[in-house]
Amino acid sequence: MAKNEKKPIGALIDLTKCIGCRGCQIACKSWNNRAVKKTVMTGNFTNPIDLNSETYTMIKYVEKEQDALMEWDFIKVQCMHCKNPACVSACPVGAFQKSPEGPVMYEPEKCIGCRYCMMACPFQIPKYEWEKVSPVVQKCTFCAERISEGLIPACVKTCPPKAIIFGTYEEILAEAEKRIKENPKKYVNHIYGKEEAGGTSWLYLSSVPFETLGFKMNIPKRPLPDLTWASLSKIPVTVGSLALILSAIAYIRNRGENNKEEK
Amino acid sequence: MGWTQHTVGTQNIRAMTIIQLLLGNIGMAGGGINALRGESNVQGSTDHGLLFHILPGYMPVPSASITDLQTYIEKHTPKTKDPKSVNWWSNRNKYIISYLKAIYGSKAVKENDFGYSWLPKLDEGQNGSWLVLFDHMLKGKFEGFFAWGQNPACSGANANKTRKALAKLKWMVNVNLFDNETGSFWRGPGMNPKEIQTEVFMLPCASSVEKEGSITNSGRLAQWRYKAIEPIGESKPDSEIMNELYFRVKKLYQKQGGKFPDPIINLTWNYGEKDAGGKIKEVDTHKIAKEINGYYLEDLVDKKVTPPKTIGKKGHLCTNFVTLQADGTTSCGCWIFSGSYTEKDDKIVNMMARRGKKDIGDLGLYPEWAWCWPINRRIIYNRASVDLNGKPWDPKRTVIKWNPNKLDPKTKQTAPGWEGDVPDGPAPPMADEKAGKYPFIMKTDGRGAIFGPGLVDGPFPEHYEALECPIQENPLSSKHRISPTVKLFYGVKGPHDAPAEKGGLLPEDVFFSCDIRYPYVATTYRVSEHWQTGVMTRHQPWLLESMPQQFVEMSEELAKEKGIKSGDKIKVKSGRGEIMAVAVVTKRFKPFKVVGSTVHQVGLPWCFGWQYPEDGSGGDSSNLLTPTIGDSNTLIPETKAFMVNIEKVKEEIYGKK
Repeated sequence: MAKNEKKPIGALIDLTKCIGCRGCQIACKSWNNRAVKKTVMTGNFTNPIDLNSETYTMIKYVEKEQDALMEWDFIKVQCMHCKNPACVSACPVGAFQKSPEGPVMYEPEKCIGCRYCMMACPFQIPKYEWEKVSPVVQKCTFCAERISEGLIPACVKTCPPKAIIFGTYEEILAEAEKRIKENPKKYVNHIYGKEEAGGTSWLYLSSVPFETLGFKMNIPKRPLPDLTWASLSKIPVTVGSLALILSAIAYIRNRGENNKEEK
Repeated sequence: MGWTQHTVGTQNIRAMTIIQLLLGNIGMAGGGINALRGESNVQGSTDHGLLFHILPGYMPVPSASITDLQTYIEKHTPKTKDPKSVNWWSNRNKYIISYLKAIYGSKAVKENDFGYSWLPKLDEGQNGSWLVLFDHMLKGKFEGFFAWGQNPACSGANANKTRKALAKLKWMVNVNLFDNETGSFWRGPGMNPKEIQTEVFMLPCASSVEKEGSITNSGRLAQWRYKAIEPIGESKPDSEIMNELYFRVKKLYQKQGGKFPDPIINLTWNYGEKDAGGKIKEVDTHKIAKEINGYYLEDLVDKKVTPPKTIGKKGHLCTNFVTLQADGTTSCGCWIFSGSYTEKDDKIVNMMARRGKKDIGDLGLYPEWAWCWPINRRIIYNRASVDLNGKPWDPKRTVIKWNPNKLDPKTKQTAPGWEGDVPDGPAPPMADEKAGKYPFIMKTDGRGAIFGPGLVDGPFPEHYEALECPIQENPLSSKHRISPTVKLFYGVKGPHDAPAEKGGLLPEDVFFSCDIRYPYVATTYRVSEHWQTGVMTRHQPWLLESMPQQFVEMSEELAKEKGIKSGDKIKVKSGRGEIMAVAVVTKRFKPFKVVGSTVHQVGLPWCFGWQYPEDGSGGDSSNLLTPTIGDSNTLIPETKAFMVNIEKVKEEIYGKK
């Protein structure tokens, strides 16, 4: 599949198959060599509580009750790899690029830390390394380097119930449509990502309405870049300076804490 | 597995087995009982004699009162006069003698009962299971302890008792990937290192990916695994650690004599090339697997057939356990594994290393993938899946079927036989008056049994409450609240029985049933992020990040009653200990209505321990709360049901030791 490099790639998450094992979360950290951030139990099994600069993908746990029986919904989140990414058009220095195969690529060397991408992303995916001296933005890479070697993404490979499948965008869209057609009672008639933000490389199937799972439903169906750039261009450059100041504060504060621990 | 962790564990399993038997599901594809074990190689370790009362291949450990082999064989060989019953255990003599030949080699001869007297014996009625061991340890009956690949300071019920027991030892050897709460018990919570004399030795061992060998799942599938990387640092595979110990212990016995040197001195240990001192340089796992499979020690010929047929040649690996002998001409370390590492067309084949992907039917049996005991039979008692004529009860999911027109591939002549999975013996179906056999070949009478001898309780499952429970009387049987057959470590009535000064009632074993101080039912369970007590997973930062702390799960109703919110810090207390936990309020937990009253339940994972993470933020083991009580038959601790209280605490509880 992946040898078909010219054809855009895609991935399908069938939420009805996810067992919430977090194998994807760990496999992603392993392949991408991500560090950890100290966590605590917050009263929910979701941990860390959201994506961050060291966590590209994770499972969110949504608890619900149906016919007096408790059920879990497990939602894997990661970069959606939009067809026309808002982050790419918002980036003033071209650090974000959409590759012809599908992954939205990021070059940290070019990044100036303005974080327009973070504001532009309709799914709030890119995360900033607030605690670092020279911070960059981090997000899911779609394992572009694995795909260029003919491998499948780490999270897809590790998924025990095969809740995530990978292929050309055409293939996985067809598969999603087929599943809904064959099991109209099982799935809601909505492939999340097919139209959202003008279409994304990652698609979702669910047995319950996406709004009950915390998915954003107010995302325009047309590509976002033209919309976002119009508004983002009006944000003054001082935002960039603000970022620098915030980073400095974060750094100094963390250094203080580190010193405390050493004592 | 959770079903077994009750005082009525065996009867829980029996109840399900009776249902499966009555439904006709035994031997059928997808039928029977699938035991989900707590560890990936529990089956393999039990097969090979890990339990105190079982020798490899499910042969009973002899009791001290049986002083000779013939009496042992007679006692443990069931007899039947019914020619239709296969009564497989009638082969006991072949298996025990071949086992003795495997472990004592040429030292085991007919004249010395094949070394039977060297086998370890149990006193009549002696129980060497977990709870009893640590009870004896606390009473000072042990000097030393090998904690091999385990973490009893967190994993065992009533962990406070276990930790106190460890302090009574002179020495302890901790064999593990990492130091753990057991190896470091002397510096744990509530311990004063100055008062503890136990000398602890840490022997770092290799993980499963750093060594070669087999692993057997609960489907009895033995799969060979390869070494992926070299062991890290000074760690060694378990077999190498045992090799070092064996050589040193043997040398001491040779030099100094001792009370009973024979079992050690006479043990075979041919697992590789020897150095000048006589020690095996490097243990070859394949040699162990071959010893388990067994060898022909003589040229064996079957003289009952004409012309006589060769069974096996001297020095060759046994074909399977059907060829094992009771006269010392074969050796076999574990008869059920005979056939796992064998010879085909004069080539040695490790059957467990096979990776064939061909299936029969579409049952997912994959008979060429690895190897399944016995004789690669994927579904045991599969003769129960066919009618008297050998036709499958469920033709859509055929496990085996009798084919009267089957062709012998060699002679091209009709040779009626079975098709499909390896049948429980080649005998024709039961409709054959002369040669037909009953399907339950391991049972003396050949039949499935709803009840039978051998258990301390029964014959039918009965409802009994847990040792600690929220109600005063058993609503289904007023005579006995708890099973009358359990071994009690404390007085029957609980704390109101004052502990006797002598006679072994330890305050550590206290329990509180139907006591307002401990009003909530508690249960323990696992989380997918951590493995057992978490020794292997808490050190893994990504796993710890996703499941960082001890929590206590409870219903919305109980949380409301106690004014608790998700994320609150909670003290959970039982009669034996207390732990700190974070409240997780879920819809999953619901109050029960029991005999008219509302009973609340809380749930606790048992994967945390004080020793790691080092800042103590993970909390400690929930087994500090569980009681010393076990199932009537197995003594598997009742960690699934006990009584606790919960209390919201204000102060910052983590990060303090």
